[in-house]
Amino acid sequence: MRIGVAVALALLAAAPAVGAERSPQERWLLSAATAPRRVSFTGVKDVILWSEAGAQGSTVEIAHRAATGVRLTYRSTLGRAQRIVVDDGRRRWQYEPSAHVALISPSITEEDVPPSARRLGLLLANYRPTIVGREPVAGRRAVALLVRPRTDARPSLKLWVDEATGLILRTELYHANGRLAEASAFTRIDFVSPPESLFRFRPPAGVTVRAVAASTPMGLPDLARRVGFTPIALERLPDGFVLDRVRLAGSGTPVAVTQYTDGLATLTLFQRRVTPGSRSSLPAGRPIPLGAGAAELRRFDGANVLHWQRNGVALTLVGEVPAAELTKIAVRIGVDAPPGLLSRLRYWLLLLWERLTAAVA
Amino acid sequence: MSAHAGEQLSEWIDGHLNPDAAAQVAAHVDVCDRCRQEVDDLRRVRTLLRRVEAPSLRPAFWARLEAHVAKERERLARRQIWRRALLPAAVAAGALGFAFLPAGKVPLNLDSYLHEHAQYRALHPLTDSAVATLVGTDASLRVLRDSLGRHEAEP
Repeated sequence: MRIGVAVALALLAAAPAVGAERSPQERWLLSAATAPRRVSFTGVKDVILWSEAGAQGSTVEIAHRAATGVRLTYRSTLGRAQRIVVDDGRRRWQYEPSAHVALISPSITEEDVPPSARRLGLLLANYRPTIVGREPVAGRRAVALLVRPRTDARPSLKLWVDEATGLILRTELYHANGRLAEASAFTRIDFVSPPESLFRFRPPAGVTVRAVAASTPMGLPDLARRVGFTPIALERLPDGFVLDRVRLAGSGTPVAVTQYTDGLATLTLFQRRVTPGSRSSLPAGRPIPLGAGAAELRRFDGANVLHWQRNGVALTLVGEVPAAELTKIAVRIGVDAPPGLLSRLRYWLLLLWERLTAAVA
Repeated sequence: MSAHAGEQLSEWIDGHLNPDAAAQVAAHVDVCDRCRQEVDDLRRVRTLLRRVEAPSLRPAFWARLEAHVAKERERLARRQIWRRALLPAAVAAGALGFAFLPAGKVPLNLDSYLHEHAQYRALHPLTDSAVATLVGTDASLRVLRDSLGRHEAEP
């Protein structure tokens, strides 16, 4: 499958740009996108994530073998336990030594290949890359690129690309409001091929191992048969977004998953049938009135999450787009009022409680 | 100091501890690998944070800030009045809602959704897969811990 990615991206790189040659900044982006398939390295990277709860940091040791495997060792940092992720191109292990637990799941599958090339094409259509300078990162010469959206209310990305190899050495991802969402930077990097043994993983004795089923790619008609209802494929999307992937998830009740992107921001819609009379709720969600009904909203790990019900189906939208974009989509689909007089009364009392406590806080 | 230094490490690095406490933490860090590693990590994260460029302030910034602070004070004062008036109503509404009406809500397994979404994000050839993998494993390990917790609680 790694070969497939390289071929898809090479085709994209070779395809002539509409009406013009590719600009230097576009060529740097294409080079950066294909670098992990061409370049092996070991290094240490710092990553920081900003969320509602504050900044979370981690230092990760990376061993990367071109097109075949990656090993990420997240050091124990700021209350976060050590964690090891090993992906050999077929299986992915996630191991947390202090909790004595390990998860095994399939690696990224063949079906995930086309979206990588498609996303890059979308990125070039919906965002405007510019070269903003040259700066050293981890002792290497790097080209700094700024990728700005062509329309408002989208994230932007700043990249530092290694001049010699095309590998991305440092990134900063910004929310649509200009605030930093994520930052990462190599503090050390060596372009050497790490030994094959690093990509073999066997959980130590006494560790609880659980298998995680991967979501299954399929077309919408097949998905409708598996989930027992016709899942909604969003037609009126935020500007520049397209339907990218359709999948079946869920180990118990099947969940229809449709995923959308504009080349950088992503949006996932989960749809699951609920038992008649019951109401699915978003943990720690804030109730908000929406259309003729009500939904729940919360922010988590840099994404907005909106949850509501429509005709016996629970819908959940997750994405790095403003909450207002999510609520517009929900209103277009339609939002049920809570079923039954008592539930409705209770819901509106909770909503009142929420509003009053927010006013008091 | 027998236990780990924990939150004191951050204060120690910032020079916010009194001399006795600072000496205790320093002595502990000398002999404790875990705390020394944590100190290294904290310093590394701060170094990275310092690399983020601070925006330059325009001349009118302070005047606008003072005006904004004054406006915010007025708003808080108005809110105090509302607080006194609305608190009893909020308590009554909440008590009625929670005590007398049926629940019927099923919490969503949000972590499995976040895991799926993070995996999708990680496929992007230009975003940082180390960040997306960290978010994805956070969610999937929470799912696992939850499932183990439920399993252990079952008879």
